[in-house]
Amino acid sequence: MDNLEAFKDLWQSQEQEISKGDLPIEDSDLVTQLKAFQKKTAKEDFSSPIVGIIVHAVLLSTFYFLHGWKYITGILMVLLAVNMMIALIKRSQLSTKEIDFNQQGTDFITNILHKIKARRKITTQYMPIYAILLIGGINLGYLDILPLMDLTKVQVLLIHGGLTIGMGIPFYFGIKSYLKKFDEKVKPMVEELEAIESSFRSDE
Amino acid sequence: MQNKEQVFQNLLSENKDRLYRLCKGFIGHSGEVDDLFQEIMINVWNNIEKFRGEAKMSTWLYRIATNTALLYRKRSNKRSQVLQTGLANSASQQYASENQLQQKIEQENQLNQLLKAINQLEKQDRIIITLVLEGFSYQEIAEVVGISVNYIGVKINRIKNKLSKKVKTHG
Repeated sequence: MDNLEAFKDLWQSQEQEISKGDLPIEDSDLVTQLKAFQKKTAKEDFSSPIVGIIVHAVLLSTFYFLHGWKYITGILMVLLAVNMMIALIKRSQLSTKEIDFNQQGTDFITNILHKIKARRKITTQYMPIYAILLIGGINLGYLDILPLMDLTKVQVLLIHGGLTIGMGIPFYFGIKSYLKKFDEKVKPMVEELEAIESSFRSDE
Repeated sequence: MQNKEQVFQNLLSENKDRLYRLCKGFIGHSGEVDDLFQEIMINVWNNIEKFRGEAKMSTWLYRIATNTALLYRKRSNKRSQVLQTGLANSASQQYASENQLQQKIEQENQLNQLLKAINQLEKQDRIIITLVLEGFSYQEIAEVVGISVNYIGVKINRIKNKLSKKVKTHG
């Protein structure tokens, strides 16, 4: 048995055995399960924009009570940071729903690799910008809020310092740990996909 | 397009046996085959409305299957085990004559050798050779994988040689 036709005959001889019940699931059960799965993901998709709208509404409504330029700029910086991250994450999402499976194999791999690399870039390049905008925005907003309270200069400094360190340190270690996990989990996949891509494209 | 459920069920009933065999070739591990098959079904279901009609529906379907297999990672570190069809266990009940039974068992052994050999190929080679074994034309494979028809010919030749050597070592 060493020619392709013999391999083909042998391979296709499985046909009868498979039709006799090797398949893991009945067609009707499968459609029911798929519909339930779709319903669940639709609910999840629906909930995040609602949360987003509520957060925007609450923050923007505070302008009615506090309208100093530092407070307004601070809140706008926070909202800019949040929206920037949402847009970047959305663009590089790796969930199966966000991936276009309709492409030919080579283009598919190229796009997946692009998404994976974009996801890493978000963490290394944009996450620090996000952190600076967020911490800077909150600090700026506090410049208008804290004078409304009866605080000494030292207390004000402690609040700003505590806020900056308290948010900055978790951000720093969070990014480091995320990158470590990401590389451990995703690096083998990237290497495999790059090998496949180069094997598929080596005729070009 | 007809109703999504109807299109899906028609596609599935016409192609499920073939798709399941492709999963066997792509993965070659029992247990994992069912996982991959179900993942393909989810992706077909989620993408069915995006079908643009630029290719045949079957080409589109096998493109989704191939892409899903390309991204598929093993769920656990459980030891690889080449799929057994279980035919040998039930064979005595199905085949009346001793000769027929022997023939079937021999065929089963050869199939297991072939699966073991396919399992040792690189992922991209496994995908291409499984499509070849299923009887896809070079043109169809090129459309699914996205490489030129000429290069598919060269690749298939190389994979076939590797496969023959591996089957011989398992023989």
